[in-house]
Amino acid sequence: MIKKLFKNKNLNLIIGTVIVAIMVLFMLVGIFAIPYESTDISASLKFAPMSLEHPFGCDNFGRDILSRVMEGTIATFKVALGTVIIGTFFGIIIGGVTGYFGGIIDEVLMRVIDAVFAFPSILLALLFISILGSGTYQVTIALGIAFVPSFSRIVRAEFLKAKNMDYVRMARLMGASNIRIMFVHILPNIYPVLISSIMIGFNNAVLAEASMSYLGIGVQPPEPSLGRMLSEAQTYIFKVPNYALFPGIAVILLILGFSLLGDALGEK
Amino acid sequence: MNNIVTVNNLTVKFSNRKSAFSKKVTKTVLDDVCFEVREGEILGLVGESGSGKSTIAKAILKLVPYEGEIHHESDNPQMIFQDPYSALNPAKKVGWLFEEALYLKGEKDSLVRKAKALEMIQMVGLSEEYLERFPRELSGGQRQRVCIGLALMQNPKFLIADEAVSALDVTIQAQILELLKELHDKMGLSILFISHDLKVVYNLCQRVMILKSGKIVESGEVKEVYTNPQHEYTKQLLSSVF
Amino acid sequence: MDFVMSENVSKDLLLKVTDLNIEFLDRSKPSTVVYDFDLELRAGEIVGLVGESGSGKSMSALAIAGLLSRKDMNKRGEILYNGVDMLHCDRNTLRKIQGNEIGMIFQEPLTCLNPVQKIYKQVEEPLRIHQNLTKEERYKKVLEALKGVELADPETVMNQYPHELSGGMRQRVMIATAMINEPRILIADEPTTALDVTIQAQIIKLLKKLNKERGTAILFISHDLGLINNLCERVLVMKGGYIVESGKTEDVFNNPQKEYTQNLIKAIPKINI
Repeated sequence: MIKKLFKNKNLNLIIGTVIVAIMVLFMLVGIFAIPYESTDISASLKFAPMSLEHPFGCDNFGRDILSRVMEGTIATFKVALGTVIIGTFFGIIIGGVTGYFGGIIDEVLMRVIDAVFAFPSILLALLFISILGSGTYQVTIALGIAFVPSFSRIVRAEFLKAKNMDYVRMARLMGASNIRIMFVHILPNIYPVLISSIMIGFNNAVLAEASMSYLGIGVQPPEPSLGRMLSEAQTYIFKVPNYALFPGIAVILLILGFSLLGDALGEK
Repeated sequence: MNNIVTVNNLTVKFSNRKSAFSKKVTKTVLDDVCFEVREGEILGLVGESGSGKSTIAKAILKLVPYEGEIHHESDNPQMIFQDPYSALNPAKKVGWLFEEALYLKGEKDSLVRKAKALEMIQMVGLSEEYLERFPRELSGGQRQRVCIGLALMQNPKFLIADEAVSALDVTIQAQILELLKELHDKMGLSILFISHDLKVVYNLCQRVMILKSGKIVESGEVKEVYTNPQHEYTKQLLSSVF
Repeated sequence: MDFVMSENVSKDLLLKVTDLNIEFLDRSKPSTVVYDFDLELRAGEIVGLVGESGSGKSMSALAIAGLLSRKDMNKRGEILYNGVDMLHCDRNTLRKIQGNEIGMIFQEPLTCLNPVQKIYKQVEEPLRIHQNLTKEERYKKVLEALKGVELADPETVMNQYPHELSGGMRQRVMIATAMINEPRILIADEPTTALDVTIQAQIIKLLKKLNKERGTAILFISHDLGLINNLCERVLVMKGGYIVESGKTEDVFNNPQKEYTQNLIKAIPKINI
């Protein structure tokens, strides 16, 4: 299947794959061969310009920006991934149950979802953080919960469409249980839609994490995250533009790569 | 001859609310329908759109709520649908669909399932390689063959065919009808054949019922009904055939 | 409505299609859907075009109606109507012919009617475009047209929306719209396939009547040989983009020359009473 996709000269797919591969490689280097300890402070290296030793330069504490962007990307990626996993998992369960069974469960659950949906995701996540406290895990859970409504709506719509198809009736006639119909018969049919919405969700999660950290909740200092770095860099944006530039590029590449990939996989 | 399905006083009403607060609107789709399907026969059910013929099928298969009595002799009635494009799960291969039918019936041995799937695909006139194909890779006629095979996988005694050939080209239609006849003879099936096409019913069925607005207006042996229609509506239908 | 046409139903040539080829370019390799299509349509005759799905019959019909304006296809040949080559002429010339001298009706009347416009407006539209009439004259014409297609209560139908009508009534409205400018050619693409048999019989009767009274030539496209046999004087049988057989309907039916036609005729279920 993947071979076929490439054969069709799908430009989105090729560019998306390349960008995602670069980012993954970048993160792998960050995990296994990080050039410097990202929290090491050195007064002599304060705002050191870009050089061979410090390709991206150093920040206001003399920390290596390249290493910090690597670790920051990993931190942001982790939060985004966790968010998407939580959102997809509960989204499939809630959306599947409401879409497939309908009736009173549907009414009740969807009204709850509507209520949750009425708040902007960030505001909602802030609300959860005020209950759970701040920190990487708390942010992941908060964002995850905030993402559940949009996923369950997408999944619900797909299940609603599928449940009236004749192949579902046929499976029921043969004695398949509801759970089996939902997860074995219907679910594979919504993969294309699911994949593209996961990719979009992932992008939103990256942005949400960045904005949370930018606001000072989420990943706590001195640990780096892309949002944190952007927030710290804004004071020095004219003096040391490379401080803001590289985390910004990392955010853009992360989002661009995954949205191109999502587009390509959703198209089919 | 024994009856495989006996339907007495079947009434189906659909009620609908326009919104949660408005009054229920009730529509009677089937009104006091009585008939029986005899063992080993092909019974035709003819009606125009909106006459309730598909609702009869759904009621027999318990897919809609109904009033009245439906007595089954067969334990696992199956159905062939009009649109072979929506009747096959697009995400699964033909072989998987065939094996799933057996798995659901309780056959846990995958080798037995594979052997039976192979037997069935040949029985509906397709070769082994079709088991490895997705429904989208098949033509309309091939899909309908697969649908028939799938419906027969659990070895049912009673089959409902709802406009099973209406979406097909004439030459393909003739082949599928031939296949249905052949399988009917081979497996001793009883079939309720629902159609709007009087010509097809004439060639396939032994007995026929004419349905209009939820009521059976005429029924009997096909030759009898076609040569000597009693009801005004049947006469009108027959005069419209080219 | 005055039926001037009926008085001089001459057998003159209306439309001549020669060597029509249609080739799609949007696939990975170009595929031809219609090969060397030839057709002559004379005033007052009904010609049938039979074929199974994918035989190219609808493509040919769309080309004749001048509705194939997509850029991703290659069209060769000639469709001559009144000295105009409809296949290659510009949009403005085509517009004067479409809906005025060539009308078309389609299989699914529901999708052909605008769901948010009242019937009156839709039937009136061709008049507004092609003729310069006052409001009263247009109203009279629309009423005549709706009466002409045997709608029971034209005044009520005028003020209804498409979803309030039954399938048969919708198809009648479509025919009224196509016929309001008294076109010389009516192209009917499977106009009765979506309808019940009794309604189908009525629509066929109506088409026959219009043909007889106004001398409109009809190109009737269908997959139903029984229908074609009943309605058409001449028939063309298409398969895989080619015309495999053509001739007088009686001859083709009673004495089919090609194997495909024989199979097609054999496949029709028959009632022998």
